[in-house]
Amino acid sequence: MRVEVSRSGGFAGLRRTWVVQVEETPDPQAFLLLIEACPWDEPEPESSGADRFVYQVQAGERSATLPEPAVQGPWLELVDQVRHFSAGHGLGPVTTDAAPADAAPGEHAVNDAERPPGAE
Amino acid sequence: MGSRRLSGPRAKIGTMSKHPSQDPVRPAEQHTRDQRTSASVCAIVPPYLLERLALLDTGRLAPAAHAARGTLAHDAGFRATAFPWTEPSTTGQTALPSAGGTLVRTIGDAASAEVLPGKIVRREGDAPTGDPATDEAYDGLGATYRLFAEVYGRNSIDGSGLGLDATVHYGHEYDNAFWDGAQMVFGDGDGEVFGRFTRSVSVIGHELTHGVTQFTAGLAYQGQSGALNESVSDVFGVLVEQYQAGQSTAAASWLIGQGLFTAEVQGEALRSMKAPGTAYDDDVLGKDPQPAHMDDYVQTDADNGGVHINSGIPNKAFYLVAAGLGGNAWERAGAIWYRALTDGELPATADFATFAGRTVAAATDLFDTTAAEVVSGAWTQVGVTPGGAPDVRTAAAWVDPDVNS
Ligand SMILES: [Zn+2]
Repeated sequence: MRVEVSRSGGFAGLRRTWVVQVEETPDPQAFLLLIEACPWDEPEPESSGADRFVYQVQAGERSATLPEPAVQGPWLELVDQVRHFSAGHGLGPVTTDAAPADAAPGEHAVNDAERPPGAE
Repeated sequence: MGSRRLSGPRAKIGTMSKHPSQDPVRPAEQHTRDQRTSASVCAIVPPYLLERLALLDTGRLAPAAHAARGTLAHDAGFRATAFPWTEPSTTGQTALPSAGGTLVRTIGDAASAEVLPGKIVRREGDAPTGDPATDEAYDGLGATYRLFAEVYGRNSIDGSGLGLDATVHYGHEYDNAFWDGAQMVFGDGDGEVFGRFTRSVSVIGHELTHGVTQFTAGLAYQGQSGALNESVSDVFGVLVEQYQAGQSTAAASWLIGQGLFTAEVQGEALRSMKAPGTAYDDDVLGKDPQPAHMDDYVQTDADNGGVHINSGIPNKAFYLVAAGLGGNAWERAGAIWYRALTDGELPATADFATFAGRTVAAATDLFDTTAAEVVSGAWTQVGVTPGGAPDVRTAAAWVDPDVNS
């Protein structure tokens, strides 16, 4: 299974993306359990303040958008694990076919841009 | 449920606490509008939830708890006495709003943890500590306070002398600075791409201005109103620098976050208001993605709808107004933007066209039709036609996403 963590926002507005293949991690079974432990079906929380990071997490067919303060418990563990096992620093020009290309105006026009958070 | 629900208080987009602006120009009108809006705003975050959040004080829940405490304190209508760390230990004077312009800074040190506020390392009037981040934050907050007080007659973030609280050394190699709804927070950067975020006064001014926006127009942090929220912070962020340096529009760099990148990065700053999209072009980071015209507006689900990207459009409009009016940008261009933000007429869900319309009105009120034409022309150049009434359809699409769920 492919797991992607994409962090956008922050003062700089730079996106970082980290990707792992669960099968390539040292303990795939534990990784799958961690994915199962995350509350995927809860309504997506809102954030307060400004310039916080926004995390988009995708594991197989499931995805969630989390403001930084909501990245806790199993979410925090999952994000940390993906960052740990992902090659590189996650920054910069798109190098994999799956990484989002939001640097190109118009190109990233999408699906869920207008979707109210939590309306699944 | 568990921690996730607790950590995301039901503070919907655009519902951060809002309070009567202290704009001296039209107090009666202001008062009426704020009574109306605050009634709907306060109902959205249940007080019981804020109280529960305020009790959580450890680990990663601390920021949410801290923000909740701030909201409770603000809602109670007095200076944030729920922040014991902002109170000078020797007197009881701060239980009342400080009248007549009082600068009260408090700097905390998180010592590389993600905790707020951290250990208090410098209070108002204390000598420099020798720690660059602490002293830069202290000085930057002072410079920002002075711009708002001396040029626009505003007494701090809330207009009533609210203490300016900031935490430095937040997190481990933390690549960000943010406003958490109650205070400013600055990371040290990873050392490869970013250095410490206090190095640029424009960043400190930017963060503090998020507080001003929260207490005035309350621009919702999503889509176009979110990009306006970002842009307003960039505008007053650069104006703090220009006012401090006595720089005219022609002499200023119009860069946001100059000096934040390490020497490894090919780029001078994070954003350019004069030429959005040109601040950096780096092998690793890629190119500055900011548009300067509505034709290039970026539709994205990331970053709350690209609030840090599309802010390039209103940023450019402000630069064009400043250039068109000439002289010092904080005087006329800044006054127009400040009036539009604080006069009580700007909806929290304003889009670019609505905000543009308010700036044209402000230019007419404060100056003359010539100034208004410069403002109108600037917006036209970036592809925005100044509008009148807010676009209700746009607002309804996301203002309360839970309504249908
Ligand atoms: Zn910001």
